[in-house]
Amino acid sequence: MIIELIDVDYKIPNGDTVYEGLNFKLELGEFYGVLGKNGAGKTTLIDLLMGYRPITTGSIKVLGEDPMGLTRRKKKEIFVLSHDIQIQSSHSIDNYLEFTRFFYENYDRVKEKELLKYFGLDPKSKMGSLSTGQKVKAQIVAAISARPKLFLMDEVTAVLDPESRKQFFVLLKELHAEKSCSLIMATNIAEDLNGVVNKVLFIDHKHAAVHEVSEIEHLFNLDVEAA
Amino acid sequence: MKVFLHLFISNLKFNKLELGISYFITAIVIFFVRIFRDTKSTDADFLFSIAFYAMLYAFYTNRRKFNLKYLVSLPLSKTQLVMAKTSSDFVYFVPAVICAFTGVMYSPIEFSAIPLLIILFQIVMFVAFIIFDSDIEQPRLENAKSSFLNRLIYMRKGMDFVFFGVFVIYLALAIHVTPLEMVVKQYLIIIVLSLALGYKFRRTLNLLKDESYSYFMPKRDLFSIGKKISLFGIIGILFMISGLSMPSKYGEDKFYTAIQEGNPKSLEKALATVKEIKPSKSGYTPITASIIEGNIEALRILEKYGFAMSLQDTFTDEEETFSPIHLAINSGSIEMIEYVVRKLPEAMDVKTEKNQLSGLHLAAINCKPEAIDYLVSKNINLNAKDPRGNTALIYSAKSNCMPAMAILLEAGANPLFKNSKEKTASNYLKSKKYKYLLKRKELLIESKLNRELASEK
Repeated sequence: MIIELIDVDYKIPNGDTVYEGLNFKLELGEFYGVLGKNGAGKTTLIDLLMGYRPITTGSIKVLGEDPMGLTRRKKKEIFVLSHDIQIQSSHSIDNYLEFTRFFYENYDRVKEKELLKYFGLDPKSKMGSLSTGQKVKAQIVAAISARPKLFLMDEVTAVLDPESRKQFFVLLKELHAEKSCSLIMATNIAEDLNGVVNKVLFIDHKHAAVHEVSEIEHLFNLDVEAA
Repeated sequence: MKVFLHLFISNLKFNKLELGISYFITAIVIFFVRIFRDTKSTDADFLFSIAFYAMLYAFYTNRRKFNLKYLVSLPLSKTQLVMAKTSSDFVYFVPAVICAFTGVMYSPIEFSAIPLLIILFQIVMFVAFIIFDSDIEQPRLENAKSSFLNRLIYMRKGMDFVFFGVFVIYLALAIHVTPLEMVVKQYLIIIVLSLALGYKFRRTLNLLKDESYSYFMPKRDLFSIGKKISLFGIIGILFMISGLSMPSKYGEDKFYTAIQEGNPKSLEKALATVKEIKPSKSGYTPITASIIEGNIEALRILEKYGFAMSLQDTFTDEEETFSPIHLAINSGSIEMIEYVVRKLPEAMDVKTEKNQLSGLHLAAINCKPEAIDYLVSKNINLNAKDPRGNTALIYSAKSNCMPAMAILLEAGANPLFKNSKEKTASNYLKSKKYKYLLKRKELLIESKLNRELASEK
């Protein structure tokens, strides 16, 4: 089991309750999409999985351990790609990759080179001079090259142009096909998940339920009238 | 260790320019403090400049350190994470702490340390909020280059900082130049900075409410705050122990620092190996330094080690040469004046070399009513004149020191005495009200004298 959440409640300290009785499992090689309205708690789920926030009650296991106390050995098998992670603008792409590759034993430098070319990135460019989409591409290069066992993605596709998004999903499909990595992608673009993920975790009103990909279009009320 | 070194070296490498500037500025600050410490450096405005720029640079560079969420996402153990953050804080804090401590050490005596540290802390917060206040997060540099409008937008944040920052700092300096008591001034400055902080803090408060507060974990965050405070203290203590940039203003030797800090153990240790003491480059001896500091304990220790006070222990500045009694009067410590008079009774009659001023004259010039009170009680000549015919009363009038005048008049000082410019004390008084009172006193004495003369005839 890669991820296991049992009866997880999460209340923001001094704030609202985000989840009540959250149950969810992810096996090796599975790819889950996470959908939900703005503010439903998609980023919070990624935060909980990476041990950035502690759960209120229940049990949460990532690679068999509590994410708040994940050992370094286990953390080497996880890569987190988040819109919240900001890389110092003084870094060049090369600096960033050099810094990141130190932490991952299985890091594939050949793959890194290929991906840089694939996304048309100049390794000497400074992060501060890149667009948001280009920054995400640099992080994708690091993520795929790190060959993680668990790949967590939090709303990173919205800033990519259509071509780059397509390129990214081609890579994700390849990764998924290898069945050696589990993936979780939180996104606001429901269409992205079609034909890519195994299942969808839909978060709504403090509860989450697992749905088939074919149900995606029924999850949101799209018959919205003008105000 | 390997991971820690990787993080530490990466931190230095990625921020070499900002760190270089920060450390270079610190070196310049310390260099200038060393050179000008006896003159301009003791002014509060200079102190403010030091603290202000030090904090500015420290926080400007600090904003580029590793993003916490990024670090948490990396395969680091808790210890490594804490070490990475601590080392990053340490590197950035060093210049700011050195400058702040240098500022505190060289502040005028009237500044009390705790309000001063509150002021420095507020400046830190103030500068940090201005820098982190982000209407515009990170305007793209390439856009700014290509568009004048974008350049203006980019500059807006900087302009906000310049206008607001300069306004508040100058407001604080304006308070400093008022004739208020130093303690009152300090608290006024604290109030002004608090209001400025409150104004700048409003957006951060919203942010705190919406986001940061929801992330607050007492154990983690209080530990982090405690760690930062400890770091600040440790760097400061190490810096003080090292003695790198805090030699005493009196001289380079360790015994001067011990005298200034009022540390008898260090003084004994420093004197243990000393056989002969020559005046420092600034012209002080340990004895003159001890008198100026009002440190009687230091004088006792110096005597124990064979360096007893004598009339030859003088200090010469650009204008005058002062004997022990003059230095004691300037120290404002009655205990020190008593000590000097007890040890050297003849010191009461010694005058300054150039202007031939007695202790009483000097106390009147520098408005030291308590010293005047003490000297008057020793039955000295109240109406003694200097070579220009000035009495202590005339000097008190010149320095507009009402308490000194009251004591002198009560003790029997004559307001009719004129100096070489044919002026009495009342001619120098600025206040019309007191001028009237003094004139009235002059008339009373004159009529009394006339009556006495008439009765003699």
